[in-house]
Amino acid sequence: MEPILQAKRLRKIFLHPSPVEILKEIDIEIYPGESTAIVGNSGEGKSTLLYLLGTLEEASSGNLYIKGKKVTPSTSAPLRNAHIGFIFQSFHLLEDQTALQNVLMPALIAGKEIRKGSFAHTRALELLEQVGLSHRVSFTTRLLSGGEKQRVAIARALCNDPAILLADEPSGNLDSQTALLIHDLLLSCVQKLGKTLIVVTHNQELAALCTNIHRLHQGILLPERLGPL
Amino acid sequence: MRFVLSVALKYLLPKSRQLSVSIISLVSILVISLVVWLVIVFLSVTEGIETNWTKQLVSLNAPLRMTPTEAYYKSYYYQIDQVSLQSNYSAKTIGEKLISSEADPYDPSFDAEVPADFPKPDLKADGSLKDIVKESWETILKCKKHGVMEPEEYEVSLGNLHLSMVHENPLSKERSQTFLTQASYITSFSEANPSVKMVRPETTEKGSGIVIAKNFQNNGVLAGDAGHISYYTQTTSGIQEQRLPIYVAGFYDPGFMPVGSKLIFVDQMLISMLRSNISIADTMLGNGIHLWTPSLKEAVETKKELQKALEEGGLSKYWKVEAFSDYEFARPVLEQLQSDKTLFSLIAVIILIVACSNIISMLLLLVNDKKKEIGILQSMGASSFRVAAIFGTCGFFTGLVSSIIGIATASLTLKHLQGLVNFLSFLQGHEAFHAAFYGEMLPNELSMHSLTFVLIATTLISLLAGIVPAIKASRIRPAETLRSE
Repeated sequence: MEPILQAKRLRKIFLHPSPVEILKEIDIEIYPGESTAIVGNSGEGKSTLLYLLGTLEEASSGNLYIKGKKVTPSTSAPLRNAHIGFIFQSFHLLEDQTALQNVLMPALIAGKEIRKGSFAHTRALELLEQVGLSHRVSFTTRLLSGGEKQRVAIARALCNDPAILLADEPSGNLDSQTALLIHDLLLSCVQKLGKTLIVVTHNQELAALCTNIHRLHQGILLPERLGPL
Repeated sequence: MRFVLSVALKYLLPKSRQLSVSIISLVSILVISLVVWLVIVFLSVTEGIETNWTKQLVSLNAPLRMTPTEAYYKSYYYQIDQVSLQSNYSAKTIGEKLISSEADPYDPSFDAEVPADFPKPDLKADGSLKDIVKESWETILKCKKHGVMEPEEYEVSLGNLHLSMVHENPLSKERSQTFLTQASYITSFSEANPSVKMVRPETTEKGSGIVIAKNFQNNGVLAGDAGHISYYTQTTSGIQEQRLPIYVAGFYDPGFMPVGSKLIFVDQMLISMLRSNISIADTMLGNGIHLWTPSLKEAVETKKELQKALEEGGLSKYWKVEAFSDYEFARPVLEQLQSDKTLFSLIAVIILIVACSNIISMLLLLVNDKKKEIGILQSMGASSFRVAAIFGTCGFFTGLVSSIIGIATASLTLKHLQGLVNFLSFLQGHEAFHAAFYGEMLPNELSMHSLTFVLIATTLISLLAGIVPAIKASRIRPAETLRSE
């Protein structure tokens, strides 16, 4: 099987204030339907690696392939829009817009029709229903609770039906009960929808539920556990 | 595109959460609108004044004029009449040439031999003499692509106008008599001139009816006043004064033409009599063809076309074709008006640039304000180019909205311009715009030129103003913005 996401000798050096090699020749292959947890201490560069894998950050050297296609500065944005859905610790929603408008934004960026009755609109409503927010569709996201915001973020990440979900500490800002709910939602995306999940987390419970665990330590990514327990 | 438009419009709508951006945005729109308003009102009024002045300046002349060149007067075609019995040994005017049956009236069996240095005839391919006037006339008639062009021969001669004004005071019933004498240019009535619109007066027992400048009315001249036009002619006993009886049949508006008030319109018959008695050299100074086009605008285009057609017919060396803007009495004024307009347009562009520079500040502030949102949009797949396009569009829309507001207010102002002028006059305590220069009312038609100029200039400058913020926005690194949260 061909890896859905493949990193070859990825390096990241931050030049300012003084040059620091935060990631040293990372090699990783992620296969469709896998859930992968990246764990490690704070400041090790887990989020940086996630942003590199999600094409939000440019590597200092090395190559990244998404569905076999090499990521270049000109292809990164469309590849991200079509194949990747991001979920952040701080939710990163468009605060002035409603839950529905937030979920529809990736479709709008993709140039899809988003008017009422369109496929994207119907799908956005379905997604909000799946994350249990059908009653919050027209609420401005500023007014939602943390858990609700993260569920909107998950629905938004799924809008363009991407193959890969990248989550950066998805439950880091939530209470334990809500965190469990979010974990369930994310893992159900893998199990029920066949998505590939890469999650950066300090949460041992969430990491334990993933197929693979990789530990990032001093810029080197080491597999801690591959395959289910 | 829909994404770019949708986000740009959301950013532009004033919101209490982005108060500083909203205030700067509103101020930018207000300032640009104000400049647009000012530019349109000024340019529209200036253009209207220019049009009026140009019309007045050339009101007694056709927009296009053809005058014979020296080559014509030195040609065999022109000179031969003076040695031909059939032409009574006198040169012909253009009108006479047009109706003469023979292009070459010279008959070697009757007429004296021409001198050895006599000009050589300009012959056609078949060996016959080229009839310059008739062929040129035909060329003119064929050259009508740019609308109806009416050719009309004109003649200008010289004479002295003498008027005797016998008027009765309506109250005291006393009669008084005054005299008026003025050296004048005398020309024939123009039936084709749309701006003068003369009705050919009848010849009565008082003499031929003439039309004089309305300025004469200030000197007490009334329609019906009679007198004569005098000229001097050489006779066997010496120089004698000849008098042709006339009466004032009406008045015309001389416009701004320098000789306007000295020009008298008379019957063609009277002109012929003057010409036949004055030396040829004087008469021929004022003979040519007026070409009446429907509007001044078409004259320049038609001139080029006519010149080309005359060139093709081998007739161009005999004619000087001039549009109204080439007339020696009109050129300095028109050039000055053009310079004024260009200067103001440049000033307008500079003011617009200054006004639009507000857009740069506003958009830079907006980029800073929306940094996180830009990062979020990029995380969803918005490319740097599309992010840049959002802010470019914001700049463009700010310019467009300002232009629309400016144009709307300018239209309203122009519609009620007289009210504004009255108010200005009231404030100053005297007439704000003197009727002698600007007419009874200031022109208040919206100028399409200024509208196009302002729309293009404002949107272009606004678009350019959006470039710096757009570049700044496109350089935002999403990972940095999102990580810092």
